[in-house]
Amino acid sequence: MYSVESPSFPRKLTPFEVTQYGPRFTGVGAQILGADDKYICQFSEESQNFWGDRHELILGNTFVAKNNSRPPNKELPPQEFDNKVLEGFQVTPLWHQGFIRDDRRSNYVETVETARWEYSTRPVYGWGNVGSAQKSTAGWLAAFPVFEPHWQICMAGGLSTGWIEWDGERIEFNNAPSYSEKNWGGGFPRRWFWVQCNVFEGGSGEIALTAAGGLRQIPGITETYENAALIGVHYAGIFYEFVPWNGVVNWEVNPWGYWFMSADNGRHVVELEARTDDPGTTLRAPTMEAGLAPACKDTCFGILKLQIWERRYDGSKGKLILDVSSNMAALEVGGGPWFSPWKGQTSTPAVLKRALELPIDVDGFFNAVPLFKPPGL
Amino acid sequence: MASTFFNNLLATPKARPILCTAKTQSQQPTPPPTYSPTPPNRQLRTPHSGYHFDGSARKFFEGWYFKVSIPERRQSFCFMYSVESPSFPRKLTPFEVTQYGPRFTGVGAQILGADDKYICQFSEESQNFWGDRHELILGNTFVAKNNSRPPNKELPPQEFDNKVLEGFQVTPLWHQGFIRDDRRSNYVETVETARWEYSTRPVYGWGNVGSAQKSTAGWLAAFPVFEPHWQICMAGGLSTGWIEWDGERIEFNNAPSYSEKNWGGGFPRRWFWVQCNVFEGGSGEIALTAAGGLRQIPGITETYENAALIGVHYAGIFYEFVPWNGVVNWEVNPWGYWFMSADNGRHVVELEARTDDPGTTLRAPTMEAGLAPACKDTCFGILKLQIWERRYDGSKGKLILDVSSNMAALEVGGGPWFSPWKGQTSTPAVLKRALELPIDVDGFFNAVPLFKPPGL
Repeated sequence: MYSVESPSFPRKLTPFEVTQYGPRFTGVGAQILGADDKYICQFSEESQNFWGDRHELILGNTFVAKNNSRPPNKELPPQEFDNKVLEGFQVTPLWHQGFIRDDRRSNYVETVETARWEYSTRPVYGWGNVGSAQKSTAGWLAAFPVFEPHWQICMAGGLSTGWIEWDGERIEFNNAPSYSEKNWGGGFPRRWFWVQCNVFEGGSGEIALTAAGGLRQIPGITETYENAALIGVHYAGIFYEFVPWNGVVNWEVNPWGYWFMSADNGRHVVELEARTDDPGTTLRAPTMEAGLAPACKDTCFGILKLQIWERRYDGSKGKLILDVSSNMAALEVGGGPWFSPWKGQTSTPAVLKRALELPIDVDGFFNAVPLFKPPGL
Repeated sequence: MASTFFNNLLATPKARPILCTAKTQSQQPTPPPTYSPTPPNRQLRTPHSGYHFDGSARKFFEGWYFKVSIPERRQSFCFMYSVESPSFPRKLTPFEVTQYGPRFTGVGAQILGADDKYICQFSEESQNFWGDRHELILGNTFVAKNNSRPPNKELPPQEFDNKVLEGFQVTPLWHQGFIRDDRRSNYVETVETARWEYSTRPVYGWGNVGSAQKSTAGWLAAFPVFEPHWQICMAGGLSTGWIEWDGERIEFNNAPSYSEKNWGGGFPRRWFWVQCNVFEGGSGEIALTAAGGLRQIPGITETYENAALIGVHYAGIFYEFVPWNGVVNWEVNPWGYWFMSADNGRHVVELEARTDDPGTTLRAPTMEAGLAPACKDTCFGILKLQIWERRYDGSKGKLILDVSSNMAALEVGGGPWFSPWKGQTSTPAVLKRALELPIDVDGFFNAVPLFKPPGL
C-alpha cells in the first residue's frame, strides 16, 4: 500500500506555511500486509522524491538513495533502479520492485524489519468487459473533485511471477493472482468496509470480485454525508457492475467477522457473504484528521461465498450463473464508529442518478484537448 | 438565603455516602423523594446550565447526561437525553432539504442501567421538547395523556404524571419520567420500559465550593467556536428516590449522582471519557471527570485539535487540569485501558482505569448519522486516582489524594479505534493566553441580559 499526502508541500509545513494554508499532513508511506498477517511500514514526511505518471499507473519513491545517486523520477530498468535506490520502490502495470525498512512506529502489530521484492505482472482484467473500453469505477464524475474520496480499480485480475523476501524467507511465485486499485481525494471516508477476492474455487477461468461501501462526506458548505457502495465481478470476460446509479446495493457488516452484501442492477442479482475468525491486522490509511494513521483492520484469510443470478422481470432470482467460494478473501473495516453492526443501502439522489447514466466518455473527450485533461485521468 | 444554605452545608458534617463495598448494607428504609421547585440563582449553578438553542437553522444538538450510582449494588443508571436540529420540529421535507441541506432531527432518551442493560426511545419530532434558557431544566413528551397538552416547563410530580404518558422532566433537584424502548437496538440487551422519580441535593458544581462556578471549557465555550462544547453541571450530588427497571423497583438514598452536558454541531471524531464519584480510601465527597478527543475546528479548512481535561473535586477544592494551564497526556486502548496524567503548574494528577466488562454500545448525536451508535461504555470500571503537589522542578511532591473505585464510568467513542491512542494536548499559544484571561462572560452579560447567549 503506497500513499502520498499533500505533495505540493515536499516537506513538513513550516509554521508560516501553516498560517498561510492551514495545517496539512505531508509525506509518502509504503506499507505491506504480508504472510502470516505480519506488517511493515516505512513513512517519510518528505515527498520530494515521489513521482507518478500523469496518465498511466506508473509511480515510485526513494526513501534513501544509494551513493549520492539522484533519485529516479521515472520508470527504470531493474538493475538501474537497484543502482540508484537503497530504500524505495517503483511500480508499473507490468513490473514491481522495491526494498523497504520498517520505521518502528507500529508497536501495536507484529512487524518484520525489511522486505525486498521483484515481480512481473500480466494483466487479465482491468475494470470492464474484456475488449471494450475500460470503465471508471465511480462513473464519469470520478474525473472531477466531487464525491471524494475517489476510487478506481486499475486491475481487477492479473497473474504475477517473481519473488519477495519476507521475514527471513524468500517466497517465489508463478502466475499468482494479483490485483490493484487506487484512491485519491481529500481523505478516506468516515466509515467503510471492503471485500476483494480473485482466488476462487468452483468456477473456471479468472474470476475477480471487488465490493465496498462507506459513508463519505459530500463537499459543500453544509456537512452532508452519503452512503456509497458498489459490487463489481469479472467472470468469463464479462463485467457485472452493481452501482448506485444502476440499482440498489444493500449491506450488513459487523464491527469484525461478518460481511454481507447484495445488489440488483436490473439485469442480474448478486449476493456475497464473508466471515473470518482471524483477529485481523491494523493498517494505516491517509485520513483527513490524522494523516497516515491506523484507520482500518484487514485480513487476507476471509471465507467468502459469491453468487450471481439472472434477474427475472419481477426482481426475483432466476438462473444461477456463478456460484463460487474462497478461503483467501481480503476483508476490511475502516474508520468508525464501529461499535455496532452496519445495515445500510445506497440511495443516489435522482438528479445524480440520471447524470451518471449518461454514457459520457470523459477520457475520449479530453483526448481531443489533451492540454486540458485533468491529471491522472 | 442562599448563603445561609451554603454555610449550613459547609458547617454540618455531611451524610457520608455508603461506599462501594459489597458487604455494607443500608438498613434504613428509603424515604420517598420530595420535590421542590428549582430556586432562581442557585449557588452551585454552573455557566452553560441552560439550553443553548439560539433559534437558528444551523446544525445543532444538545445532549444531557445524568448518572446515579448505587454503591450497595455496584450498579449505576445513566440517563442520556438529546435534541437535534430543534429549529425543525419534524423530519425535514424534501423541499426543506434543498433549502437548508440535510438535517437530523428529533429527541432521544437513553438509559444505560443495571446489569449493562439499555433502553432507548427516540422520536424524529421535537416540538414537545423544552429547555430553560438559563437553568438546567428540560423535558420532553413522547406520548401525552388523554389529549393533554404536553408540558413546556417544570411541573410538580403529580401534574407531570397527569399530562405525560411517555416522557421526562429534569431539574437540578428533581428527575422523573417513563420511557418505552423503540426496538431499534437489537445489538444490545434492552429492557422494555423504565420509570423513575428521584430528588437530588447538589454538592459540587464545577469549581471551588463557595466560589463562582466555572465553565468547563473556559470562556470561549460561550461562543460557537471549538465545538462540541462541554459543561459539567454537577460534578457530585446525592440523590434519593427509585427507578423501576427490568421488572424490579430499585430504591436509593443519598446515592452519588452526576450531570454534564454537550452541545454544538456534533460529537468529536474520536474521544474517550472517564467519570467517577464513588471512591474508597478518601473522606468526604470526591468527584472526577476526565476526557479527551479529536475534534474539528470550524473554518474553511478541515483542521483537527486534540483537546482533553481532568477535573477533580476534593474537600471543597477544585483541581483543574486543562490545556490552557498545562499539559494533559493520555494513553487509551480501543477497550479496556485508560491512562491520563496532567500537570497544571501547581499539582500533578494521574489516573489509571481498567475493565474486563465487555461494555454496552450507546448512541450519541453524530454529525454524519444523527443519533446513532457511536460509543461504548461501562459503569464497572476499576480506577485509581492520585494527586500530588508539584515541586518547582515538575516532579511529584506530597501525595494529597490516593483513592480507588470499582464503579468508574469509562467510555471510548467515535473512531477509528483499531489501535491504542497515545496523545497530548497542544493549545495554540494565542488561544492559551486568551483563555487565561479571567473573563466572566456570565457577569458581563448579566448587565445586558437581552444579548446574553442562550444557555449561558
